[in-house]
Amino acid sequence: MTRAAAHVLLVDDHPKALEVFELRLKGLGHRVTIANNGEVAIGVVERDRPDLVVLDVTMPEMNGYQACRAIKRIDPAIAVIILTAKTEAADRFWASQSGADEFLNKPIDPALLVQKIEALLGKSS
Amino acid sequence: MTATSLAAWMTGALVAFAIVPTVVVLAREGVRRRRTRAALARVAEATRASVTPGDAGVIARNLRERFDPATVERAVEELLRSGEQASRDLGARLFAELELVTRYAETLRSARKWSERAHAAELLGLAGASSAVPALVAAMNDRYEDAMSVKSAATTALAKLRDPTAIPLLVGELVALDEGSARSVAEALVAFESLAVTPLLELLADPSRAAARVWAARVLGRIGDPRATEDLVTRLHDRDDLLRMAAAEALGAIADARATQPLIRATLRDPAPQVRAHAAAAVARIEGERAIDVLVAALADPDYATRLRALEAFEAIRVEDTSHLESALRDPNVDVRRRAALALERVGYLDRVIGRLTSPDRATRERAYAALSELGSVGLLDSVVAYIHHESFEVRAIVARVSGELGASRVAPLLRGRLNDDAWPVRAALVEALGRLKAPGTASAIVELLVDPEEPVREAAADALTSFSPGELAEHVDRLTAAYDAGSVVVRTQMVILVARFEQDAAIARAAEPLLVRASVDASDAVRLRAVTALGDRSGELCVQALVARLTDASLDVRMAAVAALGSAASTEAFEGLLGALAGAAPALRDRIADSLSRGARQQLFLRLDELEKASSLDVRLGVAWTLGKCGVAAGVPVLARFLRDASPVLRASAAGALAKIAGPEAREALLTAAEDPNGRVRAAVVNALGRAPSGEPRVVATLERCTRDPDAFVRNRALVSLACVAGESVEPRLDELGREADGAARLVAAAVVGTESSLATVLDGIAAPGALEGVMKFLAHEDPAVRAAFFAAVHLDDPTAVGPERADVPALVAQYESLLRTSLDVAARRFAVRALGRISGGRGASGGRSADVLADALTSDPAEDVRLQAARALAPRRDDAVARRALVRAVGDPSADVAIGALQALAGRRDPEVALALARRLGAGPPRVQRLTESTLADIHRDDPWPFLDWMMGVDVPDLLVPAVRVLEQMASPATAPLLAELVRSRSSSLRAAAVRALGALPSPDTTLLATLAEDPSEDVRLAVLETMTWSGESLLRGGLLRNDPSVRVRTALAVSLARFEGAATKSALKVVRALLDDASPVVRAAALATLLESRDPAGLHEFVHLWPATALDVRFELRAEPRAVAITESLAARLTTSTEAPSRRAAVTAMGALGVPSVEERLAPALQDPSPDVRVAAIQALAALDLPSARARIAQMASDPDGSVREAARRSVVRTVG
Repeated sequence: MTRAAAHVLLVDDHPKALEVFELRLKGLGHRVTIANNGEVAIGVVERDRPDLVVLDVTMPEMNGYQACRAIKRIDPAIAVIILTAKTEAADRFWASQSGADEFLNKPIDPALLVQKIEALLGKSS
Repeated sequence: MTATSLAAWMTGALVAFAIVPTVVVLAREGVRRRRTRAALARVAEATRASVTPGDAGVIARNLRERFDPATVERAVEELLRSGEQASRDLGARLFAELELVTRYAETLRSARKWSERAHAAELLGLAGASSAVPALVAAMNDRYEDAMSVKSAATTALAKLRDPTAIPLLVGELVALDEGSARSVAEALVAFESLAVTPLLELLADPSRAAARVWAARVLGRIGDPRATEDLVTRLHDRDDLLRMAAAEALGAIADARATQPLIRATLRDPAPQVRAHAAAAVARIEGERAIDVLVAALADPDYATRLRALEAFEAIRVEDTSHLESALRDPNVDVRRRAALALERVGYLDRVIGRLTSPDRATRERAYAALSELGSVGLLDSVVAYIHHESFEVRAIVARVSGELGASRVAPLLRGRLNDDAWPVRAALVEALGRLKAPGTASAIVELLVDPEEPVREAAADALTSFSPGELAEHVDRLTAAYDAGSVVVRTQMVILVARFEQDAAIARAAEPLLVRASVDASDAVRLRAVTALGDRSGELCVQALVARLTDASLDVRMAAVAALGSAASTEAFEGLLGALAGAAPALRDRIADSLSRGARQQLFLRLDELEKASSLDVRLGVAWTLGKCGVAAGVPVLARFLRDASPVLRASAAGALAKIAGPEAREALLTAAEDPNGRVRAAVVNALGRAPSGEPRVVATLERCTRDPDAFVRNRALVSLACVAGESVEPRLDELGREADGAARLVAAAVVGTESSLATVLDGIAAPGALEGVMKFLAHEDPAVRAAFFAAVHLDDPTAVGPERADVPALVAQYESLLRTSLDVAARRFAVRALGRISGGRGASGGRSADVLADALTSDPAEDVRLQAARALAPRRDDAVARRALVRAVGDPSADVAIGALQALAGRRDPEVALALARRLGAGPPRVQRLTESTLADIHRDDPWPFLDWMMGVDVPDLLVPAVRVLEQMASPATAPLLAELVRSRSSSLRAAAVRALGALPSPDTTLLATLAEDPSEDVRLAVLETMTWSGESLLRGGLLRNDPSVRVRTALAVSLARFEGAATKSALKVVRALLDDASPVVRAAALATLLESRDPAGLHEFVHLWPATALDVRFELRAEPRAVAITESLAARLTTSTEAPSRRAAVTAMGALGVPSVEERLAPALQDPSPDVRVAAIQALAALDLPSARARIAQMASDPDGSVREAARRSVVRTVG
């Protein structure tokens, strides 16, 4: 069950990587915002509480884990999905330690991501 | 008829012929006038009779009836010329009535005489006969017509007629006429005023009428109609210079403000000077004073050509205020300056300046002088010099002076020509100027003035001659001598100077000598001094005698000069003279005498040394001492040594000072004997002298050390410094103690001279104290120059006395070091500067802040590693400063490991994110020791809160960074990291797993169960890591024990090693595993197991070792000797040897020590030879025998007399074995 017109924030220092997801999400009626680093993402979260944030781990200045913690401090209800190319168990572990709700490895199937997003949004609704 | 009467008759006839026509003419003229007057009377009568204009016809008829035509015409002409308007009007009417227009027009056209034609033209004009215009114009048109009379009359007539129909004709005439005629036509057109404007403008616009256009412009200007302004402005850009000039002039006459700007532009930019001048004048006419502002602005224009034109305009305007022109005298452009000068001259400025030269007001005179000089320098020199003939002698004198100052030799002939001026100030000034100019050929003229009646002139001449070369004056020696004889002190001095230069030519020089000799006894000190100095450059008996005579001169300067002069003379006379001068000589003179004696008279000195040594005069003996010092040869030592025993302390001190200058052991010996002199000054001199001894000379060092306890503070200070000079670095450890009783300044100087790192640090700390630096400077002021130089070299500073007055305070010091650091190419100097800045300025105020920048620069960019390292250390205390911190952070990446470590150490304890991030980025980079320090610093920073670091490290996408990051976690040893580490041990990367294992092992309470599971890790590194960190117990041993079957020798060896750490209940279990390893295939493993038995805390291990050892294979024995733990185990066994009360244990320990065979084992085994137990002694003998060392054999040999037979037997066997 999904919630219509949710606000999803996509964060990656390579925005092109998010275009596919953006299209998909918009196609589903969601509002999508894109940020290219953790600091900007925090700003968006503070101003305009998204319902869900998708974070890439490896970003300069502030990585995904740091951003995740900061987001959870602002609003624990915001769902966070961590994306990373790193597949170690420790990475998954750390994602959970930092408060992420979901951990996905790159390369990501857009459909899978959308599915996870929808699932988390459904949970939160 | 006689000649006389004939002549008389002819004369009379001639007179008659001359007179008769005259009479006839006069008579006829008289008749005509009478008739004219009659006609005029008739006209007047008729006029009175009627007043209507129509009556003119009646009057005309009357006149025609009663008088002849000529009379009537004359009467009418009279009327036309009358001063009364009514008469002239009547005349005009009569002229018309009498139809004289036609007649006179005809006359104008065809009369043969020009006077008639001119007359006709005039009358036509007077009559106002418009119908005569064509005739008048035709007359003007006639190219053959006389211009000055007829055409002029026609022009005037036309002007009077003011008939507009004449205008086109006149304008047309402008085109055709020559210059002279055009002027008349122009005048005529002017009279038409505004009526002529339009046709003139049309002409102005016609490019084919070049000359006429110019006239048109002029006429328009004369007319002054503003309608012409625009067209005239347009013509300011015409190609024709004359036209532009005329247009400019005309615009000025019209004075229309619309023309101002175009005229200004023309003033400044027109290529033709005349046009610019006219334009400037026009601007002045239009704008008046405002024009000046424009031109002043133009004088400041960056374009020099514009400035030039502005000056021309100023000149053209002839303004009263010449200040702007004067300011242009200082224009940067030479052409502008010259032009300004020229303009000023033209406007009379130079004349005014000349006039002010004689002002009663001094300031005015001075300004005038300056102005004159300025004008001369910028190009008016000739104009200025021309005033050399001015009536005022003051002016002449000043002009002469200025001419000389300006230095242009081309005016010299002019000046020379005035040398016979009546006024002596002028002559003096001229001479002075000629001296400055040094023009060839003027020397002779100046020489003439050496005998001028006036003293100032003679003096000026004498002074001027010094500018000339000796060659030019050589021929005047006699005159110079005469001038000397008659001259004042000034003249005599100059003459001496002049003849002193006659060196090149020997003959002339000889000729000049008598003058010099005479001058050497001149009444004036200055003259004698000059003469003596000059005589010093000459040789010859005469000169020497004169110099010797001056040794007793009343003037000290002369005596000094004579002494110096005699220095090069090797004659007996010179020597005797110098010796004689010693008596009563002041120290400065004595020094000079000694210097001279040491040069030319040295040989004689040494020949008579014995005699001089015994001289009764102390001054002589002092002189001898000083001289021997200056000679600096060992031959003088015996005498000086005897002088050291002289009754006079002054002589003894001098002897010590002299011995200081003589190298060699004899001199030193002599000084050492005088170190205990009863007089403090002598001891100080001795101590100073000893400071020059060769480096490290033991007796000197010892003596100086004693002198640091001298009762005299002066001696103590000197001794300390001298000691530093001689002993150098070797005295550094004792410097504080030795300098305890010396002054602070002396201690600092000594420390600087010693020059070690720590002594220089002391110096830097010392001079940073308030007043310390000043004290050092005062101390050094009296110090040996070599010591002074050594001090400043040591602290890498400039000697203030060498570079000029400098503040001797800390800020100045800091500034010097900062400059040194920035600019010196010497690495040692920069390194020192860094140290100095770190110690001296360390955070104090503004100088501290600036130094931080300098030090930061040095840390990040100095090419020398040493300097950067020092900078890191210097910045460490300032790490709270942002600049310093940034530099230190950058320096963590320095290519030099030492510098990076220095920076890391400086940053240790700084917990700000900037530092943490910078260090994190350095993880894994650099040499191992840098990496270790980076990791430990990071661990320290994040110890209290590891989360930010953990987040950062997990977000890093570079796998190579994770391993060093985990090492940081290992150093943190924070339980908070355990969960993550537990995950990391499952990493796919073996190196990461191994690092995680170590990190887990470092935790306060490591999960040994987890670690034990990792004992089965497929990676050898991981298994090794497990073994490194494992603390064995129960279950863990169970798992770990499986490793005894590990395929890796390293792992099995590590297992054996790690089993030494077993404790408590696991001990026995561990030994079991160890025993299993004793059967290992690898001798390395077996040796490690054996070593573990020895290392075990369980005594059974040792005994087991002893039990096994005899059967141990050779390869294992070798490996055991290479066991890394052998030394530590041997020490432990040696302790047991001395502490155990059980002989078997001691025997086992001895056997084990022998088996391990570490290099120092012989010493460890030696006590066992004295053990109370024979078994132990036997074991010791056996162990020592196995060493196969001569010293061991010697010990064993001593056991041959052991009371126990088994011991003796063991000793004997070991010897046999050795021999066998």
